[in-house]
Amino acid sequence: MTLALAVDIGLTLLILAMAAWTIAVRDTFASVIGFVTYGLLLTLVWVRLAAPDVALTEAAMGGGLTGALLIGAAARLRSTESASRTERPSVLTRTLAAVLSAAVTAALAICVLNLPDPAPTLAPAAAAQLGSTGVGNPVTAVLLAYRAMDTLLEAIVVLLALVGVWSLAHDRAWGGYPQLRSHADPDGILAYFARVMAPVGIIVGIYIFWIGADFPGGKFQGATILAAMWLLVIGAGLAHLPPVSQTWLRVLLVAGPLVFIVIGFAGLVTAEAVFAYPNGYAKPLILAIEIALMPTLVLALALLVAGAPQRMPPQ
Amino acid sequence: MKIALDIFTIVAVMAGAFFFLAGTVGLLRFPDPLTRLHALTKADNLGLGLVVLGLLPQTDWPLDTIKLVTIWLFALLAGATVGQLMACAARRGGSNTVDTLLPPNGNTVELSTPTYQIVGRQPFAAETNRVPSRHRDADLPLNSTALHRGPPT
Repeated sequence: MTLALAVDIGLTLLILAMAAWTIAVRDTFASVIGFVTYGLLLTLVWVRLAAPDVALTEAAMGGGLTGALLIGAAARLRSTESASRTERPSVLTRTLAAVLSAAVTAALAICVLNLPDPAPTLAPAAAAQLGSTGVGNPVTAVLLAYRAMDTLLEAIVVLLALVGVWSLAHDRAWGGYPQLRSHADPDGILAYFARVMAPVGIIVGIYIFWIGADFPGGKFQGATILAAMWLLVIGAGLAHLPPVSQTWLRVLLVAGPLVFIVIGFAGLVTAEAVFAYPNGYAKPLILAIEIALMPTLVLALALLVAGAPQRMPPQ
Repeated sequence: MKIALDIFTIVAVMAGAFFFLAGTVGLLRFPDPLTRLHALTKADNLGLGLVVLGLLPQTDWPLDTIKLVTIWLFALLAGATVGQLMACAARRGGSNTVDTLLPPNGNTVELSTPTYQIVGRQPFAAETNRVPSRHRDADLPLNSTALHRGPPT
């Protein structure tokens, strides 16, 4: 048995144990920590599978952003937790849930195990057309050229999620300040950390966004890092979130998907189809979409974590 | 020379692994949050430091080497900061749940403000003219004037 195989088996066992623990543990907060750890282990698995693009996304979104959202949710549910713990679902409900989950797992396992060898793949086709898109990273080519529609819908889903979060606001706080605010000492250690970390993090975030055209990286990963830096600075008490009724905020939130849609439908005129790019203009158009989407994603992801407006805007 | 560097790598990485193991044992065995943090920081600082030190001879000078050292420095910074914040929270007391990590005020990002509870379970403080207990010493009391105030400057 080689060393690499031993590492892979160990990683698999750890992931399975972590998944089981996340489901089994009764405390919501502990379960969330389990889920974040699970996401980090999954990142290592993607690295082992030589899929750095997916690994980066999993680390940024699956582990980091989802973790922050779930910790916020756990904090929100804390007051109801002891009450919900006494209401245990009936044996029938739990059995049905277990059977359903096991059936889904079994179906997935059967599908994966019965894949023809070699598995069907579009990778050669994607690689063959890479030159016409002007980007060097096939993952980016898939996301913004071959399957641009999916990426547009993803960006819109993030926006819809934000609208959903905002709609939880109390009537009196509608359009006001999200609740995330800090009591941190402006000369404290968190402020120091934010001052040192944020400049570096912003550079790393922009670098990961920019390098995505040719190497693993991209706007979602970069936007997550930038959003994290923004929240860090806000959490350290060095800046404040704007009220969500600000016009510039809403314009930037809508600008990304809007530019994407306009460029996509312009393809009807300039090329043959929706989301087709005219010859030779693919790279600049992809870049334009990415640059427009970037502020949208940064704002949307950070505001998702910040939560619903809680305080009134100034009169 | 090559063999000497390889031996150095093996020894240093194993020493680093030992500190991670010791830190993990400490995390599981020590009685209270402060001593557990102490154990954890040994794993983070010394363990990661020794692993990075051991790997340096195997990297390409200069980019990969600088990258590795930078990673260690940022882990040090983050570890020291989070250690301080968690120790502050632990000293302030509370249960071992979210409360400990997210105290009502202090050096920490506040994700769980009492305003959460107000939305779901009770009317705004302004409506009942009652300040929630956890807000007593907060810098922005929830009364009617505060509701119409801008962000703290």
